[in-house]
Formats: sequence, C-alpha cells, structure tokens
Amino acid sequence: MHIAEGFLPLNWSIAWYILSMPFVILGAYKIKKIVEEKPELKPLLAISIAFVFILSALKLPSVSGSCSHPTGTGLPIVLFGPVVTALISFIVLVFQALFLAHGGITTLGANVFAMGIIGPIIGWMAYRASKKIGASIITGSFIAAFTADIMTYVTTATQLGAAFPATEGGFSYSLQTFLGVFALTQIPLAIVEGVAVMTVVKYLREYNIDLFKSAKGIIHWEES
Amino acid sequence: MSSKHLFIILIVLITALLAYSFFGPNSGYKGADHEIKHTIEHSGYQPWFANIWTPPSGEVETFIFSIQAAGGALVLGYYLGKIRGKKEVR
Repeated sequence: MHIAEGFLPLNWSIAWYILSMPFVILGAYKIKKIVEEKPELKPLLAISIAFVFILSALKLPSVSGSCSHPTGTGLPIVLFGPVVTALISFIVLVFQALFLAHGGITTLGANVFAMGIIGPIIGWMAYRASKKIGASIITGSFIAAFTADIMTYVTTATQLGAAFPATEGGFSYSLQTFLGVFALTQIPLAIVEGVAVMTVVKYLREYNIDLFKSAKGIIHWEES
Repeated sequence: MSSKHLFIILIVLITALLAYSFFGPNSGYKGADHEIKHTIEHSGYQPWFANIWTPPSGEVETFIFSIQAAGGALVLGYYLGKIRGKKEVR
C-alpha cells in the first residue's frame, strides 16, 4: 500500500497531508494521555507498536503471483481504537520512508490516511459490529484485522485511481486497474494478519486479564 | 463455531494458500507496490520527487527490513514474556 515517493501530484500530496495530520496529532495526544493516566498500559502500547513493525516488514507471496505485506494495524485497533493506530502507522511509515525507500515523505499523508485512518476506522466498525452479531472477542479481533487490512489497500487503490484517472474510462477504469493489483493479492495476507492478531489477543487475555481489560478497545467491547 | 474452530480452519486455509502460491502458476513474485509504480509510469507520469535516501542494494534493504522485524519481535517477546512471568509468580 505504499504509494512511492513522488508518485502523487503535488496537490494530492498536500490534500492527503491536510486530511491525515489531525488524526496523527490527536493520536499523539491520546497516547500521552494513556501514558499519564494509565501507565500500567504502557506494555500494551509497546506490544502494539512492535506488532505493527513486525507485520509491515513481512513481504509475503500471494496467490496472485505477486508479493505484498500485511499492515499489522489490527492489534492496536482492538486494544486502543483507531486514533492511536493513526499515530502508530505514522511512526512506522516514517521509518520505512526514510530508511527503506518504501513510500515517501511526499506521499506520507496519503499512506497514513490509508493504513492509519480509513483502514482502522472501518476495522473498528467491523469489530464493534462483530460483537453485535454475537462473535467472541477472539473472532472479533480476526474480523477487525482482516477488514482493516483489506480496506487499507482499497483506500490506496482509490487514492491512485483519483490521482490518475484513465484517459479512457476515467476514475472507475483506473480504480479497477489498481484494485486488480492490490485486492486479490491482499486477501490471503489479510487472513494471515487476522490469525496473528487473534493469537496475540488470545494470549493477552489468558495471561493478564486485568491489564487486558483496562485497554480502551476492550472496555468498549465489554460495555457495548 | 468457537474461535478455536475458526483458528484451525484459518491455519489450514493459510497453508493451502501458501502452497498454491509457491507451486501454482505465478508471475515472478514482484512487489505489488512495484507493479503499481510501473503501471503509473507507463501512463506517462513522471515522479517529481525521489527518496532522500535509498538502500544502496537489495541486500542492504533486506538487512534493514530484518532489523525492523527483529526489533519489533524483541520488544513484543519481552513484554509478552513479562506479562506471562508476572502471572506465574502470582
């Protein structure tokens, strides 16, 4: 889902920055609040960031014959909700833009918007919805991670489709082209990501029920 | 269906998909991000900004990706182990 450096026209780069930065700043504020008010949750924050770092470093082969990588945002979504996930994605994407030439500074806004905002928000909605249909929190985590991963790539394809409408067929044609590359490749990877997230959530629930239950995402799950 | 059943079904599914990926027909396993780049360049678009720093070779890139994953795994393992250890002491 990394849009390469310079691969968005300037006006689009700026627009995506303007849209994503409020979420990143809000995420920083939220994390500061968590650290100050509930310092016992710091290990869960560290685990979330570490998890995103690991999963977004894995380039996996897929049935479509090309490679792509999971996003890892499922875990912070389940534990802390989408706003914190926006800041975590921002950190990881800056690292990859500076040290790996994956994504870039000019496309950072767009990439954060896909991986850290739209993906997590829809993943979060799917998580809440899975509770309503009676799924367990473990199944719910899978659904959250799977949805967030797929929606991240759908967002990237949409961003590219909007910036590069085909001369014939326009936006919808180019969207199809980009979705064709991303969507099919991503389905198996989203399943892998979902399994990874549900494993960690299951582990946390088993070994530290108190700590686990005081995370915002889990409180929401218990209350709704 | 409990989450345990879901877990088993998914593991089987992942194994099958991976097996298919490795032995089925493929188009060379290039990165999806890379394919997109080529599609856009093909349409005549010229990127207007290049990465400030690019890993000098594929080897170096692999090294940095490994550091990214290993660093993450170190932190993850440390805290997961700590959480478990605390429970066992109690």
